[in-house]
Amino acid sequence: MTPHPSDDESFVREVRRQAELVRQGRRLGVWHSLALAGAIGWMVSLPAVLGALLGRWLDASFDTGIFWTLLLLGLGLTLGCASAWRYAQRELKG
Amino acid sequence: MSLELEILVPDGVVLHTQVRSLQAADATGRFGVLPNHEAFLTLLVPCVLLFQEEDGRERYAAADGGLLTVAHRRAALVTREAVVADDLEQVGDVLAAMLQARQAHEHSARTEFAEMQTALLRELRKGERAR
Repeated sequence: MTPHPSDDESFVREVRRQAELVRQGRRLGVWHSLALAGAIGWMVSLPAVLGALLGRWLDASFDTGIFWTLLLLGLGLTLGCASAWRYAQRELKG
Repeated sequence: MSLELEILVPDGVVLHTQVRSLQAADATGRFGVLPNHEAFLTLLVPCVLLFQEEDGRERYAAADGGLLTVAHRRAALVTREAVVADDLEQVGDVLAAMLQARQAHEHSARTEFAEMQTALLRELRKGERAR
């Protein structure tokens, strides 16, 4: 709980702080959150799908079973997750 | 459907209007009140209040704590200090300006009182001597 301000100055400071908090909460509204979730979804799925497609093509070309498909799928997924994580961290903080 | 909102300070009514919703903060954090909220009573902490007027416009207020009473679709806040602002960015400035003006007013009132006191003493002494 916030202590009761003993003087005008701390009262004003507390009010300014809360106004800023409310303003920040606004910025991260419903649409903003949805956009964030959408962007993260694409960030994870696109590299994985592209990796898998490239792997399938490589496997077909070199006749290596599913070696390249699995490898590039895993690599794409890892990269996608990593970049999405970084993006979310930055968005939520800023 | 609306809620009657009234903000009262020792020397008058700061706000009296109809609102669609109200947001304030007490020791448990921020909370909202809608029309037909069941009756309740809480002590606010110094906070920024948000309320939506009937025309959809959102306005803001700052209150130095106070007692909030909600009953019969009427919310009344009794507090020591409060100001109302149309803009979230303005709340702090409006509040600072009000407090400063009040301080200046108090200062000039004190000076005036001291002057009157000296004048009275002077007159009394004059009267003593005349006697």
